[in-house]
Amino acid sequence: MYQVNAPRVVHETLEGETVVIDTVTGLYYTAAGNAAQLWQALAEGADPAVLATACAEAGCDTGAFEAFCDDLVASGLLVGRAGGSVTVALPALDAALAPPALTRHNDLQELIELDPIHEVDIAQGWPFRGPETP
Amino acid sequence: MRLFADFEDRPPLRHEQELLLRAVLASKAEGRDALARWIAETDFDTLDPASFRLVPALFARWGADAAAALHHGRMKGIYRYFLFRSSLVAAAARPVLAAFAAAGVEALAIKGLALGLRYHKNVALRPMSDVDVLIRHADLAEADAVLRTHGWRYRYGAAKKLRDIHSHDYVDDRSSGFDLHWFALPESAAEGADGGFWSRAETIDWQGQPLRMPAREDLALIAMVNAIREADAMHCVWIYDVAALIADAPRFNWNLLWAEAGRHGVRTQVFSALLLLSQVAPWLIPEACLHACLATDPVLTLDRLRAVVAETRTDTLTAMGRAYAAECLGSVRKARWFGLFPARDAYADLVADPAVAKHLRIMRDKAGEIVGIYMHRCHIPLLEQLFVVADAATLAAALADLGREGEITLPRGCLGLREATSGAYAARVDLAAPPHLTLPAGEAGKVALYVINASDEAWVVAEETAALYGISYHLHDDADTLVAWDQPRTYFMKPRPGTLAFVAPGQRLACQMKVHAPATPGRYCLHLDVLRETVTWFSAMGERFPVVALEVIA
Repeated sequence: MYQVNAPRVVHETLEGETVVIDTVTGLYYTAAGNAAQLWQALAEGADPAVLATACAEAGCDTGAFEAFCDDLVASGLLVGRAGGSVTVALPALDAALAPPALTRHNDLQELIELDPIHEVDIAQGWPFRGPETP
Repeated sequence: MRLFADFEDRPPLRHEQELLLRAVLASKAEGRDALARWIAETDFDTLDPASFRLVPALFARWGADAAAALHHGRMKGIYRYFLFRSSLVAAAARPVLAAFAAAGVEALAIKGLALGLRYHKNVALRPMSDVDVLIRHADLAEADAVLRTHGWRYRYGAAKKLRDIHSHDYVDDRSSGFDLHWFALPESAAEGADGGFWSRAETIDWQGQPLRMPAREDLALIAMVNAIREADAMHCVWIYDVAALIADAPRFNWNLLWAEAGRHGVRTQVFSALLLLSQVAPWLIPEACLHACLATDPVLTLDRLRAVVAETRTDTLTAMGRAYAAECLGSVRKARWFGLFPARDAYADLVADPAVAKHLRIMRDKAGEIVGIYMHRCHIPLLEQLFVVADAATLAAALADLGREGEITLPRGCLGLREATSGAYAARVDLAAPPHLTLPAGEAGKVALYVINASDEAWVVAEETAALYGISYHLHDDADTLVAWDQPRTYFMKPRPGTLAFVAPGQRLACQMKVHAPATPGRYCLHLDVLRETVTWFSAMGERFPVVALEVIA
């Protein structure tokens, strides 16, 4: 069982997209699709074994899910949780989507300096840089 | 029309800002309408900084609404940006606050950190580039040491640090800021001024760490005074903040806020903020609060009315406004305030409040004769001081149709420019800060002060003359021996073509007098002096002014 490594880690899910911020390293992560759903379930305290079963039933690669969990722990975003798991609504996973993974934005200074109005992709917004900017 | 529209004296918010605030704060129907108008009328690429800071709140409320679709991607991105930025800034402060507690340094979170965590409940909604923390003055050295131990450094040069009167700005290597206040506001930087903030402070749990902050009324006071001080930028986010403070619980204590404003000597600023709040978001503040404020502070009431009259808005006062003013002022003064100001001294009294020189435009024909004036109605009583009136009847006839302001046309020869007499060179200077300052050798600084035209004549500067009125100082050494007579000038007005600038008798100007520190460290005395350039120093006319001590450091 895991829990979010708070208060070091801040996270929020916006319109199906998860944002995770490591305030110690300054790394910014985003996750969409299955990754966002699995993050949300893990953050709420779901049993990883239950989630692995849900992955298998949805036709997703359970090995990819385990690697996802390992990566979250190795990155310091999740830590072990004392006590039992929490029953949460199982995510509606889609086997057609890419294996779960976080997208990492690791240039802190660039993130801070990227103009959220003029230098970003208009459809996606910050931190996705627009095509016309160098 | 609302009564207090008569007394509004701040620059209004920009139209787009008002729409944005309504979209964020108003009822659902009105908010959606405001959102649609804001989307239609705003060029997102030229969004002003204040609006930019409100976009996260807009996205949080309307991000999923079809009306926001046009800018959805960038709005969402701005929300993410401030979630990231504010989270890093808050996280950077967290260990410092823990260390303060361990070192016995009491601390209150004020402004963004307190508002974002406790009242908006999401730091993304309250953009911040620094945290503001209030400590006890006696703990300043200890707090400074803690900050430096944690890798923070003072943001500016050492000389500025010496001159800080209420807070030091620190920064870390990620550009997060930490504003360490030993007084909450520069307007009330005095021992004991913040006692109420400390006594009413509450503690919240910040993810396992206690965090103290002032009561919501005190946070509102701080937000208002900061907003009014920085009116040029007018970060309208403060209205969003105050709305959250009011909405947090029933019975917001307006009486407490007003009483505390009195203790801090910031009622003028707070009243301006309350007026603006009542105009932008009238559902937030009962009009009775504004009445109560004025009723408990007759001096402020007089100042407000004086400002209205001096800004020539008397003819736009509503019947309610006139009745209220008459009630406040009493019958004796009523005629002076709401008549045509027949007495010269009445005008001098009326313009005592405006802190800048006034202007009117003059039109000349090809021969240079004055043939028209563009003026405010309140300047009528001063015309005889500004001009030699050759034909009073013609002038009176031309003025008869003048509204609140406008242009009057005059025949050639009706008016000529008046020259100052020696009687004009009388002034009083009041310092607005302690009579001493410290500057590094060769650096520039400023002294805040007020200059009052203590003569019976207006100080008039016509068009592009070099004969400007201003203030300067004579540099003396520690033994009061003159070192240099001529020093930088700070003029009261800018000469402009076709413009007559003037300071009315009795008018009180707010000035920041320029000071240039000598190259040699040591102690100096600045003998202040008012002057009319190329004409005279006022000291030569027998006037005496304050002396300011200057310490020049290497």
